[in-house]
Amino acid sequence: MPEIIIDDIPVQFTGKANIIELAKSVGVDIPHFCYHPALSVSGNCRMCMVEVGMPAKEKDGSLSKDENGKVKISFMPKLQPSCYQDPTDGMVIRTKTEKVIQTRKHIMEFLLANHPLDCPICDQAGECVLQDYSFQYGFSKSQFLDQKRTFKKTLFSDVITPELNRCIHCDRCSRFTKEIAHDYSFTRTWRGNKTELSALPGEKITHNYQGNMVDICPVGALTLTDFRFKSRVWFLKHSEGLCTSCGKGCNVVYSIDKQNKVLRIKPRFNAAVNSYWMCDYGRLRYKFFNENRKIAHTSSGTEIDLNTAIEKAATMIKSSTRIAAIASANETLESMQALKDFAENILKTENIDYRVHSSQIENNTDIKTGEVLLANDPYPNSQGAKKSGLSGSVTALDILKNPLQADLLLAVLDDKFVENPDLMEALGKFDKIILFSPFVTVHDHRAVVTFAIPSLIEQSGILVNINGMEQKFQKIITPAGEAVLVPDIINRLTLKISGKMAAGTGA
Amino acid sequence: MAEKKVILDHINDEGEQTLEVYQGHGGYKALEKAIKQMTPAQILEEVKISNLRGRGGAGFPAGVKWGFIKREALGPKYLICNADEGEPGTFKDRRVMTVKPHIVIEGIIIAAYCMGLDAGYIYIRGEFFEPYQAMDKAIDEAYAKGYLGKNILGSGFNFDLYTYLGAGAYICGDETALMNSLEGKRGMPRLKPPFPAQFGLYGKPTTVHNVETFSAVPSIIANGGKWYSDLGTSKSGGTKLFGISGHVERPGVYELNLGTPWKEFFEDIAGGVRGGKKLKAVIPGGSSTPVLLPHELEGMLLDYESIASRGSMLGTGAVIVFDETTDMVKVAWRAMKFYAHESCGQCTPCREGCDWFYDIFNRIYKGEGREEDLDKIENLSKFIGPNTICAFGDAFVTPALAFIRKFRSDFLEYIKKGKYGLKSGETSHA
Amino acid sequence: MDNMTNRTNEKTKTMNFSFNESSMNEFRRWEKKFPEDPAGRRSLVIPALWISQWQHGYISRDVINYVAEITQTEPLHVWGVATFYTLFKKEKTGKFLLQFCTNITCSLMGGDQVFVNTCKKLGVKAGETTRDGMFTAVEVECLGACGESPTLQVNEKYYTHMTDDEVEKLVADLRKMA
Ligand SMILES: Cc1cc2nc3c(=O)[nH]c(=O)nc-3n(C[C@H](O)[C@H](O)[C@H](O)COP(=O)(O)O)c2cc1C
Ligand code: SF4
Ligand code: SF4
Ligand code: FES
Ligand code: FES
Repeated sequence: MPEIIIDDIPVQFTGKANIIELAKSVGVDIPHFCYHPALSVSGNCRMCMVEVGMPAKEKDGSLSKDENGKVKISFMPKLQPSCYQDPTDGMVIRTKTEKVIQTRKHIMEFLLANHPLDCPICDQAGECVLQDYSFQYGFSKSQFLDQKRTFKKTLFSDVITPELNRCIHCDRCSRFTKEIAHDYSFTRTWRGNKTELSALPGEKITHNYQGNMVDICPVGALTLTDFRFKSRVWFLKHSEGLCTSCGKGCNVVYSIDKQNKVLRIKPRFNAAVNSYWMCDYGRLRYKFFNENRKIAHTSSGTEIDLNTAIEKAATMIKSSTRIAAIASANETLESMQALKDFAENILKTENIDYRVHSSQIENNTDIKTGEVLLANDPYPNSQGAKKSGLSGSVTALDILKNPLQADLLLAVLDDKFVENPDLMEALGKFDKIILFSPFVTVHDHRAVVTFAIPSLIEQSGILVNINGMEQKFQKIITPAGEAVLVPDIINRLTLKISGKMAAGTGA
Repeated sequence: MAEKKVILDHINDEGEQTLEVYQGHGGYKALEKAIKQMTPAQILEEVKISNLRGRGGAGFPAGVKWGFIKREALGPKYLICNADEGEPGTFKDRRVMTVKPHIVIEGIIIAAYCMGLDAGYIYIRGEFFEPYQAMDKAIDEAYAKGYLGKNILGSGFNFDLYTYLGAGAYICGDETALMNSLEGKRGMPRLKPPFPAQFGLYGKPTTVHNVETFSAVPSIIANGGKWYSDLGTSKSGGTKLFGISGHVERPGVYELNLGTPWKEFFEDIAGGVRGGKKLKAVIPGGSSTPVLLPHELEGMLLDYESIASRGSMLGTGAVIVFDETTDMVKVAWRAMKFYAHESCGQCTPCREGCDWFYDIFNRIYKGEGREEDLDKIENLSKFIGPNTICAFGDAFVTPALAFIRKFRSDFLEYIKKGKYGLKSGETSHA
Repeated sequence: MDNMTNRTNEKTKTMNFSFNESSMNEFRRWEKKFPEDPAGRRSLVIPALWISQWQHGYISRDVINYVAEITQTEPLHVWGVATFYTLFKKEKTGKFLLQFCTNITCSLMGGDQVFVNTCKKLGVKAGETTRDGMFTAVEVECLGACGESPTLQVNEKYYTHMTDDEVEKLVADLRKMA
């Protein structure tokens, strides 16, 4: 296998490899701005310059050696960009020599020349590559005394607030737009020092992936309008999770403040699902986690404790003969399995289903046309529901259309259900309802019981995405108020109704 | 020695821009000879012997460049004639194209035949509307005669030639920026490798030469490589066009054997400093080549090596003459203003550097300079040229250094007195 | 010329632009120069911008859209290209665009002063257009005619050895011509 040596460490590689990545794999950090592993190599920032050498050869083609028998390395007179230089067998890379360090320092100096010194008010502070490197290379303030470049403020996005005076022209944003979002709405315009990243005059970026441009901008030139001045990132807790806004299941990081509120969602790399990206729809939809949360169980709108709620629900179930149930494709696999067993063994009904959206009914596992990640299916676990056997002989939508066929309806609700006026209206036609909901609903006042259940980031479990991939996730915040997991409620109901523990749960 | 007119032969003759008159002076004989009597390998051999080096500025040997093209490789191969002529001080290609377009075309066809190329583009800078029209007319004539198009002179060789009009960007003179421009993109230089011989226009093998380089080819074929080489020195073969301008008695384009003594050219041919004034400095090869002082010009020959030995470059052969009255700070300031305007802006050291340089020169020129400014230039300079994507970095750094080193006292005087320079409102320069 | 371009957003106008017959003929001539594939089509962006500018005087938003359409590229690509090149006018200029070279040689020979004096006489600042819409005076980089400096380019045509008097005469002639 071909091998190169990076700062005395041998690294083997296959096929077309990238020196920055190879270095990273052996713990050598080569600073860079314009290089991004998912984008084409542009080689414009010149921060990643390194020394590149090859074994020297004698005229006859044999390796030339020094007096100790060591192979001599002849280095190229100029540094080479490590993002662009292809590694070849025997190549020697040096990333820590005086020449390299001095060059980096001066590239930084050039970049800071026109960079405003507004870190104290910049949203990127704490996540800014430029800021990190300037500490590392010892720049406290720019020595650039002349006028700094300024751009007129133009609004080219509904998602991004531009601060282009901070732009270092790495071109990541426009490469992303073209190469990943497959859109031509943002690019380099003008020339030279006046080069300006821009949309068409008077127009806005159109694609649904603009938040990623904010993420990959190495400085604070593109800021997320939604997050501006909300909080310093170092005051937030960052936890890994999954996006729940569609069936794709993008891997994300939730940023949570001290009050357990979600303030931001950012994508997290997963080669098999979402690479480095997520859509704006999913990114900006997080507010439902924070609002209208149901923090107590209720009966006819009155707060009650869990025991009373269980009792009331059990009594109602026992006295009903035609029970129907609506499952939610927004629950974990574990929750779904519990519900399925409950319906089969306790409710004794086959009238249980999760399909309230056309994509679920058609089992559509495609990405929306014109989209990169966003799926037709707005639910994060429809495939899990299908797998759990939660599709009955009629769809949930049909159950909802026939209120007279059931004398009791159990419904597990979720953000999409609650946000959907048609579904909520249909629910209103049922006489007797028992609800499981993370959110306060308009039907609480007339529900036999509404159980407060946790949202998806308040529990751990498994979601199955549109490609059939099972993804595990961990609880990020403790459940709001009194909220109890659906399986726990079902266990207690089972015990109450049958005197036995539910199948699959320990004694 | 006097002028040696190879390319410029008959240039002042009535109608030389027409095919008929050009042919009357022996035009297209070389093409006929190349196609009817020579193999591509023989042509390549003559070009190698001729010692012809690229006239676009860098001086790369033409024979070596032609050798890079794999004749037998499948798929289209392209030729580009670089007529972007943007280097300040340079005005030779415009003259050749306007008055003797057929020599350019003839040279191009021979080169294309030798390398087995399929189509060629003459990339003419957008300001050169008149030369563009002249070239178009000449190309039409050449098509009509069967020198271009299908089965040229019954040889079975097909070659098409087209003009292209740039739109105002000095950087498009760089061959890879030029190719991007020809492809309808922003004219930004490409990262290298790959080089044009493998991955050029539309990603296909491509040979790029300056107008003057192609123009030298017909005489090489007509008279032999050795004849051409012997006109110059052992290392710099042939003749070269020199455009001399500024404070000189007889400005214009002259053709000289390479190796002609500077003194002879400047004093005897161009008439020396205008108005009998004393010489202050000379830029020998366009604004990107370091300025030379009178004592550095002593004994200098006009060839690649002799000028290089004095720390400058032959460049495009664009000589700018400054007499004793010249404000060299202003010259440097104006040069830097040009570069700040022309950087493509993709790579950090150049985009930020040339603007920073201009800011410093501008401040000094306006009387707001600081002592440490000159050191700052020296220091920044070390990190620009070696780290840029294209040669533009070197193109503004080397002359800037030469100006501040050779006219240090002029700069210091500006900095100390701070009262020269522009009075506000005097010009619009900002 | 950058300072004469207005960078504020221009709302898409309802008026449409398209080639007239002679522009279309010119475009057809250019079409033959490039390969018949998307890459060859893209090569037509700069020629199409030229032809549009010759017809329309400057590169308006409608021109951008039209050029994108006939070259099968995106309007934003065309805008990125148009703004890269100095000679594409992103805004209307006077009937005669007076382009004064003030680069090294032309300045040595007094061209920068001729420019300043002309501006004064026309009563405009660099990049501005005279009230009658006749003249716009701008400063440009080396025009490649240094041997006959100072050089002035008016629209496509070169005028050499320019002095204050020569320019004054030329301006008067152009006025008469218009
Ligand atoms: C910034 C820059 C500007 C250039 N401008 C020109 C030019 O105007 N004309 C030219 O022939 N070559 C120019 N060159 C050189 C070309 O890249 C290329 O080397 C040349 O056209 C090759 O032709 P030759 O082999 O005949 O010299 C320029 C290079 C750089 C880096
Ligand atoms: S806006 Fe950000 S990502 Fe885009 S070029 Fe500027 S620094 Fe790079
Ligand atoms: S050196 Fe300057 S002109 Fe060349 S690629 Fe870099 S920014 Fe562009
Ligand atoms: S990372 Fe920007 S040049 Fe390599
Ligand atoms: S300097 Fe004005 S034409 Fe060259």
